[in-house]
Amino acid sequence: MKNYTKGAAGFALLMLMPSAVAQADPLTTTQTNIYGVPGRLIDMPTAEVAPDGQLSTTVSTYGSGNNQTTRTTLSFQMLPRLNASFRYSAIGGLVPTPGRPTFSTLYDRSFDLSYRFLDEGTYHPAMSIGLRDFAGTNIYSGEYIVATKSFAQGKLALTAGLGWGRLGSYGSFGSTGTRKTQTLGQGGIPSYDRWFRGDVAAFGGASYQATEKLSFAAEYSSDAYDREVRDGALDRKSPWNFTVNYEVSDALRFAAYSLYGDEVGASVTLTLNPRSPAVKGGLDPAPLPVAVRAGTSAADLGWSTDPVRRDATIRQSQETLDSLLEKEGISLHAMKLDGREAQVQIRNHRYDTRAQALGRTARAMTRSLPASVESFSITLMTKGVPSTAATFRRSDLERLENAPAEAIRQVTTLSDGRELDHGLSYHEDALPRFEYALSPFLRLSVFDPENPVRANAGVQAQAKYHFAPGWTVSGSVSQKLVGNLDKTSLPGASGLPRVRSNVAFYSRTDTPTIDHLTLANYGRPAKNIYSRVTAGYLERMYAGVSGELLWKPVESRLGLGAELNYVAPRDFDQQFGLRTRNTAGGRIPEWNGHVSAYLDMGYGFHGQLDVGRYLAGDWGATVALDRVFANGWRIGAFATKTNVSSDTFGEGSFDKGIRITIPFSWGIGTSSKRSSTTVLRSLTRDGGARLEVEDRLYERVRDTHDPQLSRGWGKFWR
Amino acid sequence: MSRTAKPASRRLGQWAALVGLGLLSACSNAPDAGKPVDFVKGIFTKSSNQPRSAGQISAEAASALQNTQERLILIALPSVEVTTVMQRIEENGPYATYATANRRSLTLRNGMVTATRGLGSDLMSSDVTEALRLVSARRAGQVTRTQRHLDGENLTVTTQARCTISPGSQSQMAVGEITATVTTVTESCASDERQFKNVYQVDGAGRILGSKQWIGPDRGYLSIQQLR
Repeated sequence: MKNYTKGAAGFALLMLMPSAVAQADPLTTTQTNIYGVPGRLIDMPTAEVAPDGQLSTTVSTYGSGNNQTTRTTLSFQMLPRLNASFRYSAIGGLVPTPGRPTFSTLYDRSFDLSYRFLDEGTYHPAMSIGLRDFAGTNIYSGEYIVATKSFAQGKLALTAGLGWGRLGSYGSFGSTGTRKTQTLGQGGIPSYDRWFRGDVAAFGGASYQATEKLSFAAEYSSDAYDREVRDGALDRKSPWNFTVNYEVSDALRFAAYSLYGDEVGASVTLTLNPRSPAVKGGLDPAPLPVAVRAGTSAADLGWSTDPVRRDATIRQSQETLDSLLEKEGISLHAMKLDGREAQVQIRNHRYDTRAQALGRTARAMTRSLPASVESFSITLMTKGVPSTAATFRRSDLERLENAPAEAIRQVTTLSDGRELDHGLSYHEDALPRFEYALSPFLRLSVFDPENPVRANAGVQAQAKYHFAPGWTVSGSVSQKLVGNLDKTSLPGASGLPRVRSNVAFYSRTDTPTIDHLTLANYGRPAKNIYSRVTAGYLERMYAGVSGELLWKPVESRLGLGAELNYVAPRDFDQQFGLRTRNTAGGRIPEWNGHVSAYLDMGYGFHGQLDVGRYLAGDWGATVALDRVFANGWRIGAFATKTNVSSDTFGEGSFDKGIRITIPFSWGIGTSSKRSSTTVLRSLTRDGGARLEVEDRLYERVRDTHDPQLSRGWGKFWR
Repeated sequence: MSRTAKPASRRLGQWAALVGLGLLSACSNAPDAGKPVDFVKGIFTKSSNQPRSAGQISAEAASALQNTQERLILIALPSVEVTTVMQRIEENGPYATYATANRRSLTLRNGMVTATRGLGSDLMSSDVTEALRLVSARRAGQVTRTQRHLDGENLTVTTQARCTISPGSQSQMAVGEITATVTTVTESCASDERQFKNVYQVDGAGRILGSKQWIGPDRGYLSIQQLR
């Protein structure tokens, strides 16, 4: 691995990391509790953590009939000591508060955070501080400080803690101030005015690992279930809860619960860890080895001086290289060859780790180019324009084939491929190219406040025509076959133009829809600068013109961008028509746009800041923070705040969400550039909404640039 | 000759993650577009390698010896139940690369494994200069050996082990076209995480003709027999 200079942001993150990650910490568990967060008790939190990077989904349920409560929790161990969880609950048996919307089952979203501020020592316990349901409606809100100590080689763990809020509602022995009950704004805002306020109670528990697969736990709960008892949803007979937990495999667990002496429950937990792929290093076929030149052959320049021999050699080299690369899932785009130097441009279709594409191309070049060629430059093409160029000395490739990958990295020069982009001749198949795909589609809306899952499904046809360097015509047509997305109800009027909140109208049509139909040009106007202009039907809801510039030097961890869009709302049937800009909430503005900063902060964290004008004409900023793994997994969160008040914005107060990207290569065990991204966001509202345009620049160049390119360098010789 | 040794539910988890979160392309002319069947295949199917009888293996070895003049080896990787013949396809200084037709390869330095490719959890590179010198010379001594693998994030993990090399008894070897008197040399290694023991059969010229070598925590031991 390359050592990167530590930026200030990286340094700040370093401070959050423990000095050393304990390998066999007995208080690290893949088990989750009934709230879906790491821990071996039931309702009560512990100071346990999940293995770093773990992502778990827990579905738990208790009660029956109208009183059944089901919680689905996504929990992520962001850092070895920091855990964040998102929960969607369907709570049965509650009586609606007068003046609030009525319901039979209350659908609620909640977020938890916990931080372990002290690791376990020989004589002291691990200690954590946490916030449960810290924003929004506060159905489950509670805060705690908890200590857990392991005994008997980690088989037994004892926990004791202090709780506030729900966790301080039974057997409280004191209080710290008064706890507010009024929701801040329109919900969705951290309720800092409640944290660690009000009644305090003590809780505790014990867990015991009976066998490798089976564990038991008992706890004394300080949650009085006040509202549930008041509404008759349950009868709390005892503060004692019990559980038995069975581990089927690393990935799957089941648990059963006995709750407050009256009820039973069960849960299933599915665990994924970005660090546990199907196969480490992948099962791609072996690369062809480097072909080492015979001692004196490198001096032979005879082929390059005689024009007839020269043409024949170039043609033959190109043919051989092209056919070797084709077997590797790489297309030879363009090439230039002279006596001492070769430059190629490649389109990499297969390798999500770009260093692997460079390594395979470099080896194919050793097997196909005349011995006198000593310098190899390989440019990764993206959207028809050059991105990074890697330049190697052929003798280094020969010498370092069996050395650590770091050795070849140190003698590789990375540069802007634009600087080498002259005098190359295109391969005959490079342009024009036509690509199509026909596939099923599924458009999901999950965890909204009215319904856990809504979806439309159908078929989608996509086509792309690359007709000149950097130019693409791209289109996508869908036909819905089944679905209920149109049942999503329209949120009440707000003070903003309806730029997104009427999305349900766009799901109503049963005729074919044009998802997008655009003409796009990608360019390299100057060194380190990338450009994009996209015109046409940009997305389902808007047509227009979108222009973007990005500054991103190959080896820089910082990128800067600017985007300006002119938009017009499309007809609800998503065919060729446009509709009026005037909506109940106001007129949809023509112009929107942003300036953006992208920063790889090191230690696997990536931040993005967008500042500008959003679709509804509101001004503000979006902040995003992702944990990025070298293998392509990304897990992060984002939030947008604009100059729109909570009351104008509506439920949720501002736009925010969680996103998870899973590279297919991680799951299938062979290289693939495909990945799947899931975004869980707050309700679709009109404030802080952005245009969705295909292939924004930063995401297209990011993996071909440092730091990500060098992070994957271990796969150069793979 | 590949096989992923993962519990079914782990596979299920990964499959569910991909299917649940992604959309599968059904048909396309784009290179490497991928098809749903590939995912299902990649995640659910066991390798088609059937354990083969000793007779089938020796028939394969015999026919390979007849069809080429190149160096040949017979390898067995018990952790994935694979036994196959590999042919030398390239040399780079002291390193020789052997491969199968379906693109799985090994790189050997005078018979000592320094790298694997396409076996899964591959050994990316090794530093074995000291170990090789003693083993070839059939001499006792202590050495450090280094092996590099990729972790789950594709980052390089380097493992160093302290190894004690000790020559043992002599015996006769007659396999394929090889007939030789060989000395058994053992190399007992310990790293921070684990212990392993390599065993070599070395002829009078210092060539390693047969061996059982540890290639990493996931794949375990690999047996190699020179056939020519």
